[in-house]
Amino acid sequence: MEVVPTSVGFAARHWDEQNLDVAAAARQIGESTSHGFTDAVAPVVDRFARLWREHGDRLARRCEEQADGLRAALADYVATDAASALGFQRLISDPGLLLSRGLVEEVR
Amino acid sequence: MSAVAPPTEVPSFDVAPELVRDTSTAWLAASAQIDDLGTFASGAARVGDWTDSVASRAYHRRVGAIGDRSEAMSLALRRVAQRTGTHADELIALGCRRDDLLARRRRLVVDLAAWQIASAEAATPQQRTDADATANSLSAAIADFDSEVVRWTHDLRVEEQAMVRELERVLELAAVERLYGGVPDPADPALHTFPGAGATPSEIRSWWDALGEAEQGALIAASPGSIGNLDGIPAAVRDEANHVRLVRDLADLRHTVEAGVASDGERRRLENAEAAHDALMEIEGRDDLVTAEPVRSSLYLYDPDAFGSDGRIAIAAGDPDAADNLAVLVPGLGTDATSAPEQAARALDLYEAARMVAPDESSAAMAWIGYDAPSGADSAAVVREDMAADGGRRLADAIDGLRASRSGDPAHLTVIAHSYGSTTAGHAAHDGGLAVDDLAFVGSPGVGGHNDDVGDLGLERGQVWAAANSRDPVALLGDHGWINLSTLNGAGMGDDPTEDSFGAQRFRAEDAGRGDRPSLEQHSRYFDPGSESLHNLARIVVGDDGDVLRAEPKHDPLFGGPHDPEWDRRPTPVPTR
Repeated sequence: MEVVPTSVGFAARHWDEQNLDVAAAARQIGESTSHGFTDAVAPVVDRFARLWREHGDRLARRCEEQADGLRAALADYVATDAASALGFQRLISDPGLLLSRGLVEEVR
Repeated sequence: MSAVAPPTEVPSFDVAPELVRDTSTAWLAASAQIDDLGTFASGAARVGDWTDSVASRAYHRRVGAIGDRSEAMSLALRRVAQRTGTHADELIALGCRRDDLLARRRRLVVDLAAWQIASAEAATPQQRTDADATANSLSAAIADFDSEVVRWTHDLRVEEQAMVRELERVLELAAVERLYGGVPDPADPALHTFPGAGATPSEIRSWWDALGEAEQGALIAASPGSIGNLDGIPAAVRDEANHVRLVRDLADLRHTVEAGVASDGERRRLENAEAAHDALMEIEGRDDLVTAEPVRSSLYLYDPDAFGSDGRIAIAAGDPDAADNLAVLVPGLGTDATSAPEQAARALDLYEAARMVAPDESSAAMAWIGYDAPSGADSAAVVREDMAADGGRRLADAIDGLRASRSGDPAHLTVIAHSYGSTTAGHAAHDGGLAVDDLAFVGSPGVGGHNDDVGDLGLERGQVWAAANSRDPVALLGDHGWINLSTLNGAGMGDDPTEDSFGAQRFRAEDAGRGDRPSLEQHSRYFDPGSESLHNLARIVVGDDGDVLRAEPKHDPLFGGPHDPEWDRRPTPVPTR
């Protein structure tokens, strides 16, 4: 049975943050204005902003999928009886791990 | 009689380069955000203790792919953003050329009308010969003008096509991968040569100057936080880098708050970022008194997380890199990053007053919220000097940075310290030396326990100025006469710099609306437009010492309390804008 370390839970949180940050960047690109450009350039600016918003959103979704995937790996691990027993054994043998916010909280 | 065709019409040109630049900055900020994802994917995203399973191997493969994608995207977007900034510059240049063409055309139309009248009225052979000669020269001038209009139109088309090409080449992700996949970031080698922690502002300036243009541009885009607050980097570069950070923070934090997942720290950070934005708008919203152009702003310091989320911000009106006269305002009690709009308004008022008294000289005024002033929960620290001592070190470093970052002649540099800021500036001058031409204290509660007179500041008497509104209760807190509270368990903040024994040059700072009794409101009147104080500060900033309206210093006799000769003098309003 594979042991999933608590660092996986922390990595999932970081991917959540990246998802938010990149989604914000995508929105920023999408909301950029073509006002101020000449008529010859403005339509291309609009097209660029629209397509790059999509590119950014897609990248943000990949970050979210990473976070979800890591959480799923943790959930699988905790849901397995044998793994739970092993995890419990680790927790009680390592007070630092017990106090850390990683494992159980991430699965919630 | 020959005919002369009128000059060609100048084509219309409906553009707003400042909006184009905003778009460039927004895209640069977005590219920096995407670049951060690449950095995350190559570092913290790797789970080093989870590697021996099918799931972990698949995870790390995906991490690598996301990292590669984000790095290529950030490089592509950065390049487009930078080209868009260049496009804004080109539009400004084309606009200037068009203005010249319009003026030239107006003159030609007037000349043409004059020639038409002269030729119609030509009666003698000589008059007809003269009219023909004028027609020839006018035709040549109009032909030259027409050619210039054609050239201008051509140059506009070329620029438009170049911009469109730049956008179209990376519209699709496949093109982004093909053009930028695996391409090294020019910011990386520049970051590897980054000066160490102990580098002086002069050394940092030398390092910056030695970088190529591409490396400099890459650093501003990819690592704005590393150079935006670095003393020795030119103010214009710091402004550009800090704008990238600010725009990114605003987009990111507003999005996080809207998503309902913002922490208290993120909300506070957003508050500071919004304050910086509002402060910039405060300055850019006003036109220069002399040129009628919008006043130039500069985000010289932007660190919204500093000092336990109190934040650090410095914003200037005018150009700190090139101004003949540069003033740095050091605020006091209750100041943190959220005070930026109010402090920027003061800097702007001082800037305008300086422009008014010296319209032929360039000036800049900076609101420097660069130290941890007593505010909020730590306001009680106002009765101690420890925050002033730390702030003094930061102020001295900031002044050294401003000196080192300039290329041309040194500015006439004045530090104007208000309230607890004067204790901070007193420490800066005494503890490490302050490289200023003039130092002015206003509304001072004391300039630090080690400063008994101007000699302790390391400056000449003619360089040190002090003002105290007679109704300002804070200005009464400094030590007077033989009393020295700062020797009593560190209580008090040192001597009153407006007292005769201190030796500073006192100037007038009475408020026309003062009452009969001291009022805390009077402590905030030193930068009011139309006040004696602001007028005098402007004179000091431009080095016009002879026209500063002087005041008699306070005097504390051996018996009885201190006497302030300004108490009974009637204040004189002075126009400052």
